[in-house]
Amino acid sequence: MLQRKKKNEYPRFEEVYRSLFPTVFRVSYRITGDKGIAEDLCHEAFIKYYEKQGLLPDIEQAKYWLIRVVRNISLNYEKRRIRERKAYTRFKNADIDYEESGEEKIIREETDGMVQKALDKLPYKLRVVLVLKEYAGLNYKEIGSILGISEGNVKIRVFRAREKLAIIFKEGEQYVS
Amino acid sequence: MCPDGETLSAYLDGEIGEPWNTTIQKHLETCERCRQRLKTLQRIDHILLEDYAPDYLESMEKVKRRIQITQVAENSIRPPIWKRKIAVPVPLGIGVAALLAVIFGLYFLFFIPQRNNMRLVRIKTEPLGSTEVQVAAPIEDIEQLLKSLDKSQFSKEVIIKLPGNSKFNMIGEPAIMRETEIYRGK
Ligand SMILES: [Zn+2]
Repeated sequence: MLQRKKKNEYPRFEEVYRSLFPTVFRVSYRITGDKGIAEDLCHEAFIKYYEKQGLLPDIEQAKYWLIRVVRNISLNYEKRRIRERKAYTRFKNADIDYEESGEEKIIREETDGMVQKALDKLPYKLRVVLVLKEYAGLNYKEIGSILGISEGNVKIRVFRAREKLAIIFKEGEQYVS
Repeated sequence: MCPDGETLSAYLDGEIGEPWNTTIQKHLETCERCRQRLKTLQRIDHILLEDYAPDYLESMEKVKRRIQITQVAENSIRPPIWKRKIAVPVPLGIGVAALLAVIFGLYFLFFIPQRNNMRLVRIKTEPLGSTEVQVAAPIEDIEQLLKSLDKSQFSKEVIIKLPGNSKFNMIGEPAIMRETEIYRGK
């Protein structure tokens, strides 16, 4: 028989925050490719979690829940990112003399790793699945239930993502010979 | 017959059940081409996991502070998220006086309601012979504590002296950043 836990046996917010922030942040960062946006996602997700915590009896449940929330919010950022990218392309094409300052360039080179750039090039649907697999350590079944897709579908997307990455890395020539 | 890419990728993830898992394993022993395909997939995983990632600790602090601010702004009725007991382990010799000051200071400042379940002082003797006095005082809000200490009219000296290796375990408490000494009043 499933026994419902008493309220005070539920993990405390701090405990959940401390143990899950690294994972939630890593997932947010890998999906969005931006540290600031990742912080925004975490902020929003943990606020939502705080309002909800009475319903999540353990850390594992909290983890799935938070990752699901992050993924849902990230979708909005993705739409915005695509819009901005289009705008930026127009801006660039307008032939305005736009140069990054030396300092800006250095920061960019340091923070935008090759790998993250490659991930950013993946279609959102593939990127999310691969990120959950690699950076959240979830299995196909868990990913499927978080995204509301079948395990078979997860399998396909994980492979497609890897296939595309192989091509991207090859083009970059840095990693795969 | 060679497994397709999806199957190989799932095999890498340990997502293939028996008997297929063994079948693929056997196949790999004999098929150089599939070994290479698997290797490519493994290399991609390796690249992803080895990649430099931004340090999360700084963000963890930042977001925590933002959450606190949001909480305060949104709803003052809701209990603060970071409500906690604060436990300060201090070697016995160093700071009994200081600890008493802490205890009395906090006691008078906050008029701590009687809570029978909360022991304020615990003396712990370590196996190696050192003795620790642990003081636990309920602090609803660390900001509030510091503010209260700031405007304290009792000219009490409150010294919270922490040994360098203290297990403070207060990751992210923005107001106390593991300073070794915090002086207030005088
Ligand atoms: Zn083969």
